[in-house]
Amino acid sequence: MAEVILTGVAKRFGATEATRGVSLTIPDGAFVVLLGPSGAGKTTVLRLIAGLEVPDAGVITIAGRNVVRDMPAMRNVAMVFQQYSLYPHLTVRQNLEFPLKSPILRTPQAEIDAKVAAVAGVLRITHKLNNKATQLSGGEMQRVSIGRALVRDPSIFLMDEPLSSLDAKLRADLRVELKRVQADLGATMLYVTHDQIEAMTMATHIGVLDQGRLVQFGTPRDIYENPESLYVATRLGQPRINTLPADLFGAAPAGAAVIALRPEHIVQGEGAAARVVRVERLGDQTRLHLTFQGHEIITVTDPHTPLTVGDAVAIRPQNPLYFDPHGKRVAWKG
Amino acid sequence: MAEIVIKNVRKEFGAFTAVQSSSFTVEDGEFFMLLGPSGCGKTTTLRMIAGLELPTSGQIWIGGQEVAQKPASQRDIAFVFQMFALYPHLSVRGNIGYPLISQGMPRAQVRAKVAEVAEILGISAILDRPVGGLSGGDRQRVALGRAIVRRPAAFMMDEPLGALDAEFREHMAVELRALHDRMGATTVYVTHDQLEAMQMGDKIVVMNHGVIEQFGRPQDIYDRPATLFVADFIGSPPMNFLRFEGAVAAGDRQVTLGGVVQGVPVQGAAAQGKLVFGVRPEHVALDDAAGYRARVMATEYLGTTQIVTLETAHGPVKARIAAGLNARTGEAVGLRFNPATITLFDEGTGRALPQEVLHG
Repeated sequence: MAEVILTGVAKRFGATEATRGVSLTIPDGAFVVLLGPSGAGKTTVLRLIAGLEVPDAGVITIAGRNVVRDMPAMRNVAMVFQQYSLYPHLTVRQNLEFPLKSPILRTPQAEIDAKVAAVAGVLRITHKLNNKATQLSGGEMQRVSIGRALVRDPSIFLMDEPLSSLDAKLRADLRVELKRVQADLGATMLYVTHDQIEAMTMATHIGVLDQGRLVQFGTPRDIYENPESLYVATRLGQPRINTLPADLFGAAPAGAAVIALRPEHIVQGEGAAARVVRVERLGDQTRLHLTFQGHEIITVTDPHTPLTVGDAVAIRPQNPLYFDPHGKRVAWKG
Repeated sequence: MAEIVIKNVRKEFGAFTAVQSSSFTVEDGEFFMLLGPSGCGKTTTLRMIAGLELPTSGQIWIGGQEVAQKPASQRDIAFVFQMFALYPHLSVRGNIGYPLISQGMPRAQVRAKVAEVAEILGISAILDRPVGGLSGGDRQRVALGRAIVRRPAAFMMDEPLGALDAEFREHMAVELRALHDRMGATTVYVTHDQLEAMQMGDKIVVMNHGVIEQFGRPQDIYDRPATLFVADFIGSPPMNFLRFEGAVAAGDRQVTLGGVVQGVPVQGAAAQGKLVFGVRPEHVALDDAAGYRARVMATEYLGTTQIVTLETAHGPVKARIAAGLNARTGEAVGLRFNPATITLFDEGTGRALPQEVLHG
């Protein structure tokens, strides 16, 4: 495994700047998740590291070596795509063995067998090892394609939304598994997703991309609790962070245009009166949709709250974040 | 608008029974969810209410009229599909107005009705645009508009948000529910997404293998699942199941789990043998003083909360605890379960054991 460093990497497709001067250090053994909506440049960064695209400017080093001129095969990276591509005429076992059977590697068969067995166990496809790849469900095929990356010992794993085609339950299981496998192997991982749950739960570091720019890089907790911009603040958190005029609850710090309040950062029973518009009972929590001086606010409350539509409830902000008119964080001590 | 009553409705396709004898009532103005995994019979049930399938037996009442064997055209309902099929050669206005024009309504009246619907959906500004270039959300709004414009007795919706991406689905779910609150139209909605069902529904029917597992208000189903299937299907992460051999008598308030006494709600009847101790992740607390021991296997940070996966003598258990609390992988901890929230199940039948006191 290795450290991967991008310095000022830019890539343009026609008139579109897919990445703009991206500088990013993926520490050895880190699980870095790139987060952003479609078109933010996540997949392009991945493909640039893999060597599937050549940057217009900038340097990419893997384990200290500039690889910008290297062919993909020379970079020793393992990539998992959103759309699994397996060899349809081979069995699951043969698909998993394939990367190890390369004549250059000359891996002994006993070692291949052990690796395949271990990976199949982790991904719970042991009972399917002798099936043809085409006899698998979509979820199983994707697990095989993840497995085909895991049997190798690359410098870095590059994964492009590998769980997005799976159902919710399997996705939740594989999140934990993938994270555990990565930690056990000490693998360096760059993982692209637009799913904030995946980003928060798996990452050691999250990189948030906005229109080709890396706008913040830090631990999930850092990104969630200390967003440097309104854009980053709205990337994480479900329900979404409430964004309101800065002075809605009284005096705001100088230069602030927006107050942003996470739904859980609204104290109930103190402050000014809001009205309940809708009560959403999700089981483990209840969401309150409120109107407050003409603004919509979402907060969370006790699952068995007696509040119903039309009730008044007093609210007060707690740990608010302030942003200037350009969406930049305004420093403030509360 | 109308009440819908389903009485002993059954549907067979050849030798395959898609829906076993089912009964439930959708009250006037309710937003009603049919929830279950694929193949559970939820879509077939919806199609029978709509008249797109005729039941093998049973009765369907819409607004006091028995319609089970009547074709769709004689039931006053509108259907919104997952893949919203719009007329590509018509404008937004043309698409929404189509059902009225085909009924022979005068043009001026159609114009007024379409304008009203567009206002409700917030698409007045795009009425004269072709539907070709619209975003997914706007296309969905147009499809809804075409269903609403006829003012039918009830709406049938088959995973109308299924094709949208997660962030946008969340937004449309809120919008759709707000629309329902403004119009008050009886709506039957099919989904496989438990969160969507909890979030939007007044009531939920949970189906599995053509059988209704449970029927009730979302919070009640969450707090008191009637079967192991429901407890597992609803909630994310789902309810933890700790399987044990034991016996309970009517009036019991505790069970012994791995040698440790655990409080449970007052039991309503005797049971013994293979039992399941069901506890939701948010009702599991880490407490070093607790006698029930576990080891931390993984933690998943979620902002305000974190999900801790623990290994116990009864298999893996997930706890949802505050993000600020410390839980280190590999660490040995004690677990405390909130007694009032526990559900015991009989593993053989898969059904919850009866309890005397209801929670909440």
